[in-house]
Amino acid sequence: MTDVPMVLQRIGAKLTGEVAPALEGHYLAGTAGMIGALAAMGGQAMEVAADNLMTEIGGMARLLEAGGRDPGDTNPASLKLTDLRALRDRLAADLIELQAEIEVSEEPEAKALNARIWNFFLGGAAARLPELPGGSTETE
Amino acid sequence: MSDDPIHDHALAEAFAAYAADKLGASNLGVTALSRIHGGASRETYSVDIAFEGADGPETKGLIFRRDPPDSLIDTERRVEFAAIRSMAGADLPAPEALFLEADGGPLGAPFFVMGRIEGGQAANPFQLETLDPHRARLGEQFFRHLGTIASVKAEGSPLSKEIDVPAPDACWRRELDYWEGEIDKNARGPEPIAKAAIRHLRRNPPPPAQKLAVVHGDFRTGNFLHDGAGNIVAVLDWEMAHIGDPYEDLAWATDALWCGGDQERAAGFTPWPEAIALWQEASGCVFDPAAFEWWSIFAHVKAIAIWISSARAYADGENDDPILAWSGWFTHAAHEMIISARLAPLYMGEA
Repeated sequence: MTDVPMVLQRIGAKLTGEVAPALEGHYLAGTAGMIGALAAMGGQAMEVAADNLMTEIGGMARLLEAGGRDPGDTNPASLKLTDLRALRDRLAADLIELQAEIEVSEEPEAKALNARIWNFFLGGAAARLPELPGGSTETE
Repeated sequence: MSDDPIHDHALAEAFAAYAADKLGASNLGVTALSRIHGGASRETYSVDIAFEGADGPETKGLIFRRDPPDSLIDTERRVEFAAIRSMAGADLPAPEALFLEADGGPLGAPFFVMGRIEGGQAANPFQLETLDPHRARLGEQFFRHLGTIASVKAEGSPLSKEIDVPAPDACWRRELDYWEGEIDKNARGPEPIAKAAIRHLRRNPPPPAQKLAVVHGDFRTGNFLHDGAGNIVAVLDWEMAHIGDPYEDLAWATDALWCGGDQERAAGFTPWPEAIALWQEASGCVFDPAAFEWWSIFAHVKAIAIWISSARAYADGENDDPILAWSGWFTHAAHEMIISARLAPLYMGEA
């Protein structure tokens, strides 16, 4: 079975819907519920992770170019998530440097680029925010 | 599941010997011991003891919190213990701080013992609707207790003997430096949103603290117990307590993450003007929207630093509690969203 997101979501539902309630009263009930929530979130995330990372990579490369910086080779070594994350992280480090430089400038071009960076942050943050599985969230 | 009320007999035996010695009680035994889910920064246990008191047989409910191999928050238990003691005499339902063992010893890791608050239940900040119809009543107490903490004289308190006391104009920088340091130390990758927010805060500092106050450090929904009938019966989780600017607690307590999606009400409980009025009255502080704005954005940064530390501890295998993975994932993403939603319009409006 290769539909891993589906499997993870089903495991999550089993843990939160059946295992955790059966452990009620034991501290591991909370643990089981939490693992179930994480599995369900993992199922969702797996489906979109590569797409999100590629979108971020492309967006950061364009921002760096707009700031006059060479983003370097933006072709990932492979489509494995580890390779995509490594490339995203390299570009993110460069973006931090660029933003720190331009955000203190009064030049309209710098302000416009800073606005584009914040808009990019907003879009990326929205895409990364997992949907919470129903009825299984808690914090401490 | 086992019906045995003692979930760990070796631990129960060790605790019984310890408690007998500390209480000077004879024939002391542990009749129930169970670990409580939650409190990832400590292992938390509920214990029932029975012993021969001066006037005959007695029973007592206790809570002890023992350090795990790695804590969610890197602080000393003596600070938590001193913070609770600093509340003695204040009109605040805090647990009774009984014994502290900072060097481990009897239970294999540092721990402290508190009196158990009977009948209390924690509130889930993501399911505030479960508190209805008592939300308004709980909110009134929530903001009054928050103000009461800020009203306690920080100078000379037990807490002030354990930690540094900053100058009023140094509170913000000390906190921001500390939490940025935690981000830099623990981040598993670049954090462009958190770093941009930190630079924003440094370019726009708040006014000096109007007074030095005891800061609980983690006062929010989820860290108090209520009785199900609209009464807060205990304020818990004092491990991040310190002395600083009272706005820090107000901003943290009303962070968007804890308000259950209801930003019309402070902390999801009380209309903002009412909440501010309650806090002012109990704390003796005057509300300054500009100063609060700074501390409110700072609260998001502090939260991200905690979530990053959680993710690091989980990833490194130092603590396998899945709450740390959840914190490092969902709440981290949520706070990146919250920061972006607040600061992006500001900078986009400048362009």
